Amino acid sequence: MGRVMPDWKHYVRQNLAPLKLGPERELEMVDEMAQHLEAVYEDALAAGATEHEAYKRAAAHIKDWRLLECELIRAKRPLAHIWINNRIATDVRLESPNRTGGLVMGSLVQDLRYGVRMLLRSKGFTVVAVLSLALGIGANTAIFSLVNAVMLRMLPVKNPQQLVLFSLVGPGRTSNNFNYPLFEQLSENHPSFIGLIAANTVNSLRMSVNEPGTTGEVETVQQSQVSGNYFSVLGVNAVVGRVLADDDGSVSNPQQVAVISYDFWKRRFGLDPAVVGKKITLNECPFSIVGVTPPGFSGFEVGRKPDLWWPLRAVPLVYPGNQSLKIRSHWWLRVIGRLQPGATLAQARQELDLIVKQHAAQMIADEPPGSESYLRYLKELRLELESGGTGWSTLRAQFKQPLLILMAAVGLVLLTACANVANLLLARASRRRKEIAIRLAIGAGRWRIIRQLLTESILMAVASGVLGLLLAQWGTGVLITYLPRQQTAGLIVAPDTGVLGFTLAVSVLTGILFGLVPALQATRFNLIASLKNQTGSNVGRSRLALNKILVVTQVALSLFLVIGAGLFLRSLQNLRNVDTGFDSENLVHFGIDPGGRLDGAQRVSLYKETLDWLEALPGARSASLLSFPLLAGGSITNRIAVPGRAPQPGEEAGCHQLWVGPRFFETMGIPLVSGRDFTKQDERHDHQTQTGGEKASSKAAPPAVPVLFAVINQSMARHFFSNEDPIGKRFTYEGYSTEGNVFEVIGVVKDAKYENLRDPSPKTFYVPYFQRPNNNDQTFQLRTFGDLSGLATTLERAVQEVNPKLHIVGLQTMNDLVDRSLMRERFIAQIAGFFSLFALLLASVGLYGVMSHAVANRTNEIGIRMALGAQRRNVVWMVLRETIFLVAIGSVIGLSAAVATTRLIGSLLFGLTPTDPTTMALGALMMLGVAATASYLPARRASNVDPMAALRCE
Amino acid sequence: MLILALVEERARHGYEIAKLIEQRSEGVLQFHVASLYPLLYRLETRGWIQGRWVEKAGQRRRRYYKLTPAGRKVLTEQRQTWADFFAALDRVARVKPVEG
Repeated sequence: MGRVMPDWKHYVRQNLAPLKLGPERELEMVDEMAQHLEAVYEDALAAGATEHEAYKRAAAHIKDWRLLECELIRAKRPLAHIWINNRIATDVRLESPNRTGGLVMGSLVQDLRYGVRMLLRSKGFTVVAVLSLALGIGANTAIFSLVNAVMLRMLPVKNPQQLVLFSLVGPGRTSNNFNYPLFEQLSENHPSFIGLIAANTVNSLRMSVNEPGTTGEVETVQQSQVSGNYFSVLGVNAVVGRVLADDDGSVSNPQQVAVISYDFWKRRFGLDPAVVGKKITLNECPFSIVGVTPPGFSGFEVGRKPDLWWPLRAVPLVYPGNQSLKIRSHWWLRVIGRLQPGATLAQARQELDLIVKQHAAQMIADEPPGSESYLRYLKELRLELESGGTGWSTLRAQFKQPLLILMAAVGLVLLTACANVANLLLARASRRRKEIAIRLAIGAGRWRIIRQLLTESILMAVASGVLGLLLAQWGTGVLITYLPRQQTAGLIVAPDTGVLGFTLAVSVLTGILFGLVPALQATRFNLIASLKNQTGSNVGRSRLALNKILVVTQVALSLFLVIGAGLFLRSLQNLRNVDTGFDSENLVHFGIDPGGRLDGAQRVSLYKETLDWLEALPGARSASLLSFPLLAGGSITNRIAVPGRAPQPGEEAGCHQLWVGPRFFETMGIPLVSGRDFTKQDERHDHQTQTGGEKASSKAAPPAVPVLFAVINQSMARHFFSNEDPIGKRFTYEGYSTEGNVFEVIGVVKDAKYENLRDPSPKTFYVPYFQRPNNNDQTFQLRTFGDLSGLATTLERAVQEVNPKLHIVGLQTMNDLVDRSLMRERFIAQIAGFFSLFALLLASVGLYGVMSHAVANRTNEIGIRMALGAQRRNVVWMVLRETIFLVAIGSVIGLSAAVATTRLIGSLLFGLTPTDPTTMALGALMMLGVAATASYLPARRASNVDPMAALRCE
Repeated sequence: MLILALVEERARHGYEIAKLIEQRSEGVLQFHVASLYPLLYRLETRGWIQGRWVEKAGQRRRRYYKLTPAGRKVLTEQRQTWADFFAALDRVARVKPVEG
């Protein structure tokens, strides 16, 4: 026969490393296994195989010699477990019938333990999956924490769901601001409510504590003025002393009282119970503290942290001359009611709406408003009620939409992360096919295995959720810095049950979402083929198709996010580049706290002196003052008439009026277009005409009609003097020409923005402050020759030279101020930008994974192609082409989704349309670039396939 | 359990066990040398089976494995468990293992 039998004993001994189990035992093992291989070899020959085939068949019995060594050594250890046996036992272990509950729980624990083991077994996979999920879940938790804190958290008061927030709705405006007379009218008759309360926005005030033996140092506190029934209607009791009462500060109980917050009690008084009865001074008006609110209570205004509350009734005492309790044009109070049990919102609204309408009609009749739009607003004013259990916040109006948009965006990011992990799981499932097949073969049900796989997924998702919660803690901290600091001081963002529940729900859902499809896929295949270690070709293809669908989804989602973020980023860019009309470099802006009450004359001399000092500072170029803080949304609008000019019907004749100091245009860098700037003579001129030299007082009606000088901006010039030169022309407040207040135009300046950057510059006229000074706080502007460092101390010293009681407040560079006014835009643009890049990264990882896998699966085909003469670049192109195909499908879906939905964010954009073609094109291009990079590596690997090696693989 | 059942009838050597498993499962279950022998040694370490070198006339010496009393007990227990399990499965899902 001439056949040479291979020496199997030699074969085994050569390949098997010494086991250190004793030479005799080892020899026996080798002998036994060699015999087995020999038997296989002989059987194969007998069945008609060639020698080579028979040898291959026998050799196939032991592929991994190292594994065999380990197994043999472990087999000799008495306590070693047989893994599969163990699994069978646990899979099918039956409990006695009276312990069926135990069966479920027991197997769940088993599942969990096994899940942990499997996750630890493939650490790389677990780390990548958990990290990307943790980022996704963390992002969702962080944004949700903020949404929860700003919009959802119930106030810590009695039955918050009974509270109702009042708002006034008119054309183009919805507001929560009420004036005091209207609040009083509403309070008189409200059958559906237990009570109505009103509160001013939290703001700062000077306070000193009058303790014997101390100088009563002045400190700044956050405070709010509230109606006397504020605490009783909210159902909040004092922890020490009492809360405010209805009649505090009234004729029957004339003493002024205040209630302090728990935090302030702790911080300022060290929780001293003797705080009740302490005398304090608020803006030089004496008060006594009557009680402390419970910890955690910080009023109705979400995000603010007031130190104390005092009755609205005391407003004229604390702010002498303040008419807020009488005048109807001052909208400054939030009104909240507590519904009677059983009363409905609709019924309550109906009862009170009539009062609002009557009030508005009375206002129009008594004092016609300055602007056309305001008149229309009053005419169509109506009351609306909404549930108020979550309080009220300016943050909500400003950030509700951005927060919801970001919530949706991070939701999509999490979906992308899910798709990514599902992809990884699919790849892993193909590696675990044998394990699953054995378990199926041995009798585990398909659902049993799906349950096991899902347990693993959910376990991973929950682990990610825990990590995500930690990330969210940090992330929320970062997010808060994007919001106005003052309004978030009291924001409670620590995770509560709502946030924890949200994270848990998101985690579990995530686990099911990314785990279910791969689990279904993994348990549906040709059992026998898998056991025989063949690649079920059908399976491979459908698995790959699923992979590709996931990648297309990722591409579509991330492109959608990139486009959305792109729109916001470009809006922000547009706003930054908007022509403000002034020069914001080397310009600072601040206010001065006079440290006490001033009369008009004192104020004028204080301001004049301060301006002189400022201009004398080394490095100062010029200084001026303005009636409003810049870019903070404040304005005064007056209706203007031009003698001899017939107003057009329905014309918006309201113009913004600004009181400015000398050298204002020079300081702000607003160019003069024609005419001249104000001079010192203009101020003197007015003094002579108006009062004949004595104390300036805006109340004194002058005997002669004084002509005030005014500079107007281009918009106003265009509107009222379109065809003529406005210099020397006169205009008046509408309907007041006979009583004085005639203005003469001496110059025209370029349009500039004061209220905000978005709206076009309104029609504006400027009048010199010192021409007709009022007793309101003014803000200062200072232009320097560069180098703003150390300016704060210099300025503080400068104003204290004028008067040691003075303090600089709110010092900011103009650039910062411009930046701050873009807070909302920056918030949404940067956060969305960050997450869209993260989604893009996930998509590229997914793409890389799928292409690598596809290339590995096609090694053979590629080998054959190359053997038949295909060039490397053909192979690279073949792989890239497939990527481009996937990306193209994803991009079309992503772009269509973007085109269909971006109009929803149209109101937040600036200077571009929601379907801005440049942004869309850039987004798609970026996607393509990232995709090409992600698939280049697999493509290159494919082109490096050695045809011989590839073919030998078979 | 498979192996325990096979060596219950009589002592068998490794190759025989492997072939029997493959035949009786109609190819669904296959044991390679690399997985069979560690398993056998493990069962032996636990004292459920016992291996012994036997020389028969006209054949080379082979190692035969037979069930020990401890192994028999385990097998009975496992059989009962499986029987209970299939009965339960049948009651729940009307699945009866195909009788071989």
